[in-house]
Amino acid sequence: MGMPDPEMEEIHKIFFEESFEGLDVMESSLLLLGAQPDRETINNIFRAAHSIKGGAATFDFIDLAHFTHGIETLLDQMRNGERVVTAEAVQLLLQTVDCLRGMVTAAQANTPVDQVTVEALNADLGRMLSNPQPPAAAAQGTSALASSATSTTPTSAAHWGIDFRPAPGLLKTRNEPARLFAELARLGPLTVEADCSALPSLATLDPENCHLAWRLVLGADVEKARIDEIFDWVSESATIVCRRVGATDVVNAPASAAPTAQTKLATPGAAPMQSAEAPDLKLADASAPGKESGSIRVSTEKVDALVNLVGELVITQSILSRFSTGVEPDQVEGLRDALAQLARNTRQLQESVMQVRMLPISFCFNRFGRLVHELSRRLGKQVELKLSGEGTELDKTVLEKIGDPLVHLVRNALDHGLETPEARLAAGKSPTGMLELRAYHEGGNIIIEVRDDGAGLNRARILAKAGERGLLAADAALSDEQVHNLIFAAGFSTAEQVSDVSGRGVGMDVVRRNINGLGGMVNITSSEGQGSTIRIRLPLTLAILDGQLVRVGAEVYVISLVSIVETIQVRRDRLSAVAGRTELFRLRDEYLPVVRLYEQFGIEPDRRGTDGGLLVVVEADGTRVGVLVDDLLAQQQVVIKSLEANFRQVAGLAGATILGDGTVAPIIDVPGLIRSFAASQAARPPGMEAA
Amino acid sequence: MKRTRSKSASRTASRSTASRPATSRKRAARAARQPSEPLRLPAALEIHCVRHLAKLAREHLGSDDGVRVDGSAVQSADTAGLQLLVALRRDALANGNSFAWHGTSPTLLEVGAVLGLSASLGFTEAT
Amino acid sequence: MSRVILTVDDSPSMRQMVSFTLRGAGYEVVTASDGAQAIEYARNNPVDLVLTDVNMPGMDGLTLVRELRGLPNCRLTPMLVLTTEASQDKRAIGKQAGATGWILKPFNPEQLLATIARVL
Repeated sequence: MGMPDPEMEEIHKIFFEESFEGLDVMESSLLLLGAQPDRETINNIFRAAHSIKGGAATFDFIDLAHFTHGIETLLDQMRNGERVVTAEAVQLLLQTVDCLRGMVTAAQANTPVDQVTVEALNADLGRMLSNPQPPAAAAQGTSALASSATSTTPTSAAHWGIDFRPAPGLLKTRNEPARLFAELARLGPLTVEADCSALPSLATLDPENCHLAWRLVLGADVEKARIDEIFDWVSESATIVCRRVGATDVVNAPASAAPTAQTKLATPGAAPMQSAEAPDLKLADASAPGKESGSIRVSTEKVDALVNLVGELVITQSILSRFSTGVEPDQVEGLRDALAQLARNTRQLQESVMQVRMLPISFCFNRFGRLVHELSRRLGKQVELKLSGEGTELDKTVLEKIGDPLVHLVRNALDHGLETPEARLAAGKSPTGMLELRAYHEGGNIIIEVRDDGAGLNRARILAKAGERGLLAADAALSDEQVHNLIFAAGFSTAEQVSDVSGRGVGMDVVRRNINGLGGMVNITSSEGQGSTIRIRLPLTLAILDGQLVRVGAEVYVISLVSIVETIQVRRDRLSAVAGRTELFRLRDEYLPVVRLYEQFGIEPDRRGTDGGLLVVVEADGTRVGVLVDDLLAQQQVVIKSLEANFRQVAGLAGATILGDGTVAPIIDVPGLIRSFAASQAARPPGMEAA
Repeated sequence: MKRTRSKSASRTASRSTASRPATSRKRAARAARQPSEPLRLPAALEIHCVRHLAKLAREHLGSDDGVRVDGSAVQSADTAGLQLLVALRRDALANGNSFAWHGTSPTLLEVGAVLGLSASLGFTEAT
Repeated sequence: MSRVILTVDDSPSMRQMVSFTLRGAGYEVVTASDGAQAIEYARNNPVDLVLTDVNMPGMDGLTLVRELRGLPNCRLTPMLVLTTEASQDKRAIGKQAGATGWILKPFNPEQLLATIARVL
């Protein structure tokens, strides 16, 4: 095509995005079809497929276009009422949607397509299409310019005689005879004779109508099809007689001759379907109101650049506010006011920019309809999926990254949580299990809950397995909640047999790690026999954090406020050490392990003892520890800067920020810290002396 | 013949109106209404302008003398445009008037030929 | 003065593609993503040619052609349909609606430009 590549790539990119969106529409609409066939829904599916096909063909993704064409044909029959919407057809179409997704992804990544699947589905489509119901009459449309060639043609004929009599309205459609004749003339020598006999007088003439007709002779031995092609579009609005004539034939030999050859062209709208036999399919004509999209597409790079700039702005504003101290007294108030205003503006700007990146969680929830549909079929379970809070918004990146973990949690719930209909009946429950996905805002976070009314967790089994895997100290006294949350530990799986659906227990610990990586937390509460609820808490944004600044020695760290339970003064009498050097601090009726931050990070603290120190009690994954620090500093919102991007990943840290005085303050990864602390304690041989 | 209407002739006609009998007065009046300029065809002699052009053509047809058309500015032409001129010429000749071209552009001649209207438009006549 | 082509298609990638092709040939291009937008524009602005898809949500392309033909300043404007639809039924409806021509997708840019050049 001779187009510069970057431009083409950009256009391709948009096509891929559109196609994925279209495939989502197809899928969700197909799922709706199962319940209730509806003309508007079928139209939506058809249009989506049609759009993908058009784009694919335009951009030379031949296989994609070809495959989509088959799908489109089936859908076309359905929307015309020629084919009943059956569960079998819906299932096949769902499979083709999956295949299409794969094909678009392959096109996007420039990798080969799985031809086996494509061919198998093509075969299925072909089978279904060749199964007429009712028999779809073959399309009448082949326009046939009259061909009397058989009756009059001498084999040596080399000319075509064409009578062209346009309908009066031809000119208004801007189909210009001069242009048609010019094209004919390209095929060979053309003589044109105009017939003005029907031209009215100037007084009565409607000048926009065509009152002329023509007789043409094309002195070229070409295929009739080439002539037909030129007149193809106007064949409806004109009488066209096309006869092969001998070289010596005179075209304006009487119009009386060969009326047999004259044929009006195929009448339009010869409906290929039997209208009388409206099929069993009662198509409801529900018109879905079109969604107004008052929105624009913006690349995430642009938005991220904005977010970054705002982050810098916040830091600059923070630095500025420090300078108000060294200013003349009479100017201070004015300066302070201005800075306060700046702080307000910056905060508002920051909130707005964060908002730009927010998307409703429906983008993520929507895929579960299909997933639950397929999975419940495969597992032989009856499941009702309930979604609530789909409009709850969260950051785009968080949204993208929470998808896979949620999928795993849902699969797990379906596979291990919810029982078979028989088991449920036996337990006095309704045979249809309930799976609920719920999202809402709480504080500065979004909470996502995955709730099922299945069998719940069995404490004994979990404890047994954990013991087996060496995940517990032998005498550990754990609450029910702590036991339940052991399922998130690495290498844990209590499923009797590993089903191919959820796989081995590798899933849950990865889920938790991913959620932690997003600055979030996950835990499970369960009631045996009644069901389980997995609760995920995620920050609304990955860019800023409400943090507590703490000082250890000369270093300043940030601990996210969300993970802090409380902060207390350390008293020596509350400390005790147990075998293995774990220090415990007694807080009311709880014993908290003490984490000495200076040990973890190798810094020189103010004091090595604990007197006078402060204990910051933090919580993650249902576990609490006390973090020992020298001093508590301010609480403030900090802009999270990535360590990986600017330095490298550091265990125990979840990024860093730049404070108002320019120092870099690392942000503590609380869950990571707790986990590594626990690991180091478990590995420590017993009997070492207390600190 | 009566191709051009010279100013003196028209002045003569109007001056002598009062003293003429009724029929020639009518004739003279009609002559006085006649446009002295030829019908100038636009650069785009196409369907967009044919309604307006038809009105102008009818006025030119009303003249007692010959119809003159200036086609030198035509840069594009279509069937609607040329068809109108065919009607104009035919009606003029049918009324016993003359029809003459005051300039024809190459495009005008070309499209006329493509549509097989050269003869009907009077292009093949000596003007 | 360059000619103005109004392109109507609900697919952003198609609109971009067509725009790119036409602008490269010196045409001025106005894009609309649906029939209503197209009509609103054509009502008040000069348009030398309309290029429209058929299958669009809301108003389909053939209805759009019919509607545009009803507007006083579009009565005689060339209108080309650019679509994957090849069915004779649809084409017939197109002709009745007053479309000037029917171009199939996938379109070859050279062909598209040639067709437009013939009609403009």
